[in-house]
Amino acid sequence: MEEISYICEARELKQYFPIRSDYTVKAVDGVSFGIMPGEVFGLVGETGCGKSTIAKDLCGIYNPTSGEVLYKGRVVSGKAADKEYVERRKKETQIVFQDSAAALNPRMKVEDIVLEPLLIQQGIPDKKAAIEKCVKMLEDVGLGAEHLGKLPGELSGGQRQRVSIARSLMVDPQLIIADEPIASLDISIQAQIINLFKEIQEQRKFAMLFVAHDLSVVRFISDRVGVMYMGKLVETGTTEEVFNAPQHEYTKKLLSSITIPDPRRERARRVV
Amino acid sequence: MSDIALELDNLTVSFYTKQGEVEAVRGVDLTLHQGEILCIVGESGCGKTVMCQSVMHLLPDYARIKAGRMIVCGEDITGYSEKQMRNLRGSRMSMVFQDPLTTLNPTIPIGKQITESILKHKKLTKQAAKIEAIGLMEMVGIPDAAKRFDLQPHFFSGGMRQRCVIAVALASNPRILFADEVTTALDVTVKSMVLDLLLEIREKTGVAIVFITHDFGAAARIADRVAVMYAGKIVEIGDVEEMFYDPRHPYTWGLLSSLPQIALETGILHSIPGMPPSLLNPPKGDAFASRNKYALPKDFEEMPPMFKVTDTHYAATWLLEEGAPKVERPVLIKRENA
Repeated sequence: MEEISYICEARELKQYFPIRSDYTVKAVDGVSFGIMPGEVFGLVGETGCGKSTIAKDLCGIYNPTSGEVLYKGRVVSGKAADKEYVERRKKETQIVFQDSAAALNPRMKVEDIVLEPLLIQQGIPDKKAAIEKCVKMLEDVGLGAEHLGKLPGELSGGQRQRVSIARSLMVDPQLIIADEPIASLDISIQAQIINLFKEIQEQRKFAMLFVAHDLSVVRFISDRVGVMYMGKLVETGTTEEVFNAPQHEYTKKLLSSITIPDPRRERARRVV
Repeated sequence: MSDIALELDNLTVSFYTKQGEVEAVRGVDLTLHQGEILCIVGESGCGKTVMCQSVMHLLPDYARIKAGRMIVCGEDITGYSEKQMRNLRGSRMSMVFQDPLTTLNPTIPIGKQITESILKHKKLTKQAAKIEAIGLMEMVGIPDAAKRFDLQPHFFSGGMRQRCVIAVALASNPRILFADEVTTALDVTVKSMVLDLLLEIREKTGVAIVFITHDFGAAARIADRVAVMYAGKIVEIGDVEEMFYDPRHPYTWGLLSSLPQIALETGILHSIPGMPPSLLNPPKGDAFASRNKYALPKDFEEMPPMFKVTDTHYAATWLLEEGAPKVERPVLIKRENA
């Protein structure tokens, strides 16, 4: 019963990268979790713990070494993959990357970037209607028609990330995988993008895997949280459970090292 | 020796680019006391790094110090030549950068890189320098320093590398340490260890630290004083408690309320609309005015001077002028046991 309710699920997922004959990096080592429709699942952990590898496994960029990725209850990885569901996952899943400068083709205009997913998946029979949809989408993410003709190089980091988000929303995805989408932005811009994600997620009710290393951001945006350490998922639970009553030692350590913007509390805590 | 380690007087730096003159630093006045940790907070492009680079004379060729004076330990270094600067760099002041991997030479063992900086400034035999280098490595918290002396940087983790860079910077007992976003590239657990290390170093050596960051949490932890920069100017400066519990500038309010840590308590994440202005043609008046919902008509016309709040706390906003309309400050951080 419960299994069907996940939109995307990882089961005993393992992703190894052989470096030399005698040395293999176990980036993801037996991880199981699921994302329910319409929920935001936050994945936190330090550099190199395998967060991004999981994100890439879930959207099919990597083929897992062992274990399965399920999309709407059907296997979509490995030899036993259900072809129909692999196609559906492709169509219904979108990714937003960390580095918006690298994620957008520097030679394409914003218009073409945002229309590309539509072009690939459905074709554009009516250019005018498509551009209208494109403008509408740009307005939804806080940009406007004046940005249509611009190149990514002419936009600021925050604006580029907005274009990335607009692009991913064009095909009405049911699952968005956001891999550190706010890590390279300034504080005031970061807040704008977090609010944007929260707003559009509440409007459109898509499911989202939100990968980040900033615990406070994850706490703010997620319904459920998974904590990763050295390729393993050490703790999962609702945001409140994980942040208020962490069970695993590593989660406790991670939580205790968040700096609080409050000098007195911060200094009182430092005795550790 | 006087109590003042560094004094900046109306420092103005511009970049000359194809598009025109970019006013990166626009008249900064600043005093840094001996043994003090001053945090400079601001968004990217607000001139934090350029300010430190000017003091170190590390500006690129197309930049020029247009006006102002820089006084380091009572010595006016504004017009110093490269040769004069070489003696000062390292011995009087050092700089640590954001990315430890690009700072260190990947082919040279860590120990040798530290010894190099010791030998440059002190008349010591190689053997004595090695002993001192190992001592430094131990001071910055590298266990088994003697064994790791001959390892190249890639054997070390990010946090360890940053510790090594700090050891190199401290090798010749500088009076001022510029730490430019040193914790930004590090993970949270490592970050808090490096912050503790900086505090410890200050205790042991009495070095004054200029800590550049955009992380208010880090500032809350280590700062004695905090300065907030915006569009090439310091808009507010004060003791750490004054800045966090009693900020006066709308930009500081905006920055603090866009922190997710604070949003967790209030439930709303505020953001500052728009983005920082281009410094190619900086706007007239207060550069923040167009993003500021508390802006007064005067803000668009005239640059506000620094108004005094207390002896240590100053802010550049017309809201502090006598007769200015009272505005309700957004609820930020409440001072506990005040």
